[in-house]
Amino acid sequence: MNLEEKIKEIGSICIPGMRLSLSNKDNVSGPGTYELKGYIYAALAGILKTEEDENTKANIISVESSRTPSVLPNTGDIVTAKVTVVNPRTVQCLILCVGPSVLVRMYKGILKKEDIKATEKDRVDPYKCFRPGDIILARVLPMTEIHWYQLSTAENELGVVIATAEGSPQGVSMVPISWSEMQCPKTLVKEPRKVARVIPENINQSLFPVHSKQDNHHTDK
Amino acid sequence: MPLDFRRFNGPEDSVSYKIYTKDYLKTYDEQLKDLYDENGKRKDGRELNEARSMFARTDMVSQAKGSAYVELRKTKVVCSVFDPREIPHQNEFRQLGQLYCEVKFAPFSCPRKRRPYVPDVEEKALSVALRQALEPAVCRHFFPNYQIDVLIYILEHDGSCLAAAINAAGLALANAAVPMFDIITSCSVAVIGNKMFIDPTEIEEHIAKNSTEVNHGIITMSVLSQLKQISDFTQIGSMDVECVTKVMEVLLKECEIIVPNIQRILVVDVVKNFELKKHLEAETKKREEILKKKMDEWRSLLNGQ
Repeated sequence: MNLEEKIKEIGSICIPGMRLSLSNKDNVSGPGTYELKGYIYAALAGILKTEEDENTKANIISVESSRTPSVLPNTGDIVTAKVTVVNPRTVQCLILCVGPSVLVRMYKGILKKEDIKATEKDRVDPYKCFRPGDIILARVLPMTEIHWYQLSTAENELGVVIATAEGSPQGVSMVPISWSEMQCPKTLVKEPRKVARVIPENINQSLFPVHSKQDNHHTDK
Repeated sequence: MPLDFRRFNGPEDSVSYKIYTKDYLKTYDEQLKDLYDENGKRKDGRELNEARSMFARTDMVSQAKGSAYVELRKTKVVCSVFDPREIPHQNEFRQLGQLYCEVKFAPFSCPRKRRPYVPDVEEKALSVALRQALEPAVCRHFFPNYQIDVLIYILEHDGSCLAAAINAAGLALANAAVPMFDIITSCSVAVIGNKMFIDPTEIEEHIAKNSTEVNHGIITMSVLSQLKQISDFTQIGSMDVECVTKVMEVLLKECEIIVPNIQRILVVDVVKNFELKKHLEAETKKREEILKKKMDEWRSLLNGQ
């Protein structure tokens, strides 16, 4: 039957409540599963995935669903957020994605002045680090308020990823020139931002490979 | 019934045409005899202990995160589930998330009277019963201080609405990737005297509610199948203890029977989503190829210069 062939091709399909395995040192429950009375059960309808954890050599059993699970950002997750309001004391933003999964409904997050940078916490000006409309990477702190997520960008890898300069046309994102400044490629305007140290995309390197022969050629012109 | 001011209502002293029909004037005994004939078969040809066949399907409502449609012959129920959202008017920190359930009858759904647009007492009672049935099944510690909306719309009411609603809500929650402890199935029974009608139709429910026998009423039960736990038990009417225990045993078996159907629907859902994902990935690959070709063209142009 066609359905049976498709099922075999996909692998192991799980539905909520299915008992997956024993819960012990070798089998740990991952996302999409829960543990009850010494066994691991599936919590979502999806495909079973087993990965080996490098540190403990245990199998992490998880269920992957094709839709984003209806869960909220957890403490310690890295989230992608869009800045909405910048105040002298706080920065408000909307959380768009949790890790790699895009959320259907955006949640509100707030970044306090002391959590923006790791050093010089009290002498930071939020307006020089973020502007409304920026896309930032931030880490979720333990929840203190009911409906607002506390965020922090006090790490090198966190901060502004995509930003547009004031007065620049839509869609032209600025290029970072240092850890605290970005420049628009069209209008050449420089603006202060707290830049995130993201590993550069491969796409730029393959388009414009840097060869020594090429450089000489250009400088001649 | 409160007047709907946006519509033309008839004259205030108008009366439903149904009170002039022969059915309305039947006595209770005649109505009861109507329910089943000499062979023990009910009006729609079923045995007393035979449940209706269920049709169910997920992915019915495109705007909702997850949705399901359940049909029990004539009873039709649609359920939509949305992402967690902030609880309005909440002041205290709670460790567990909440489920906001709303059951609504469509105005044209009931055979006896037209339903108002504002949720009335019966709908509110069904909403509370649905919430009590679903709460043990959902992993609420994954969304503390937020609530998940479960909205049920009953398109046609021919008995067993609560059971159909619970089945639909269970499917819709699984379809929406809300973490659940187990799949939930539900069934109901109407008791009139010493007769038990499994999966009652609207007429049977109506007589069971208004009967004057010693044992009369409707029991709806919902069960978590793998964990073998009863998540909710709702009784309307008056019954003695032996009757209740007998009905519970019957209901446990009936809820078991529905489980393979629900499992099959969820598996088909996973397969369909997987196929869709593969199709989308194939399309993105094709587009990436085209983009790559263009970039190679540009690169050769640049290098040529």
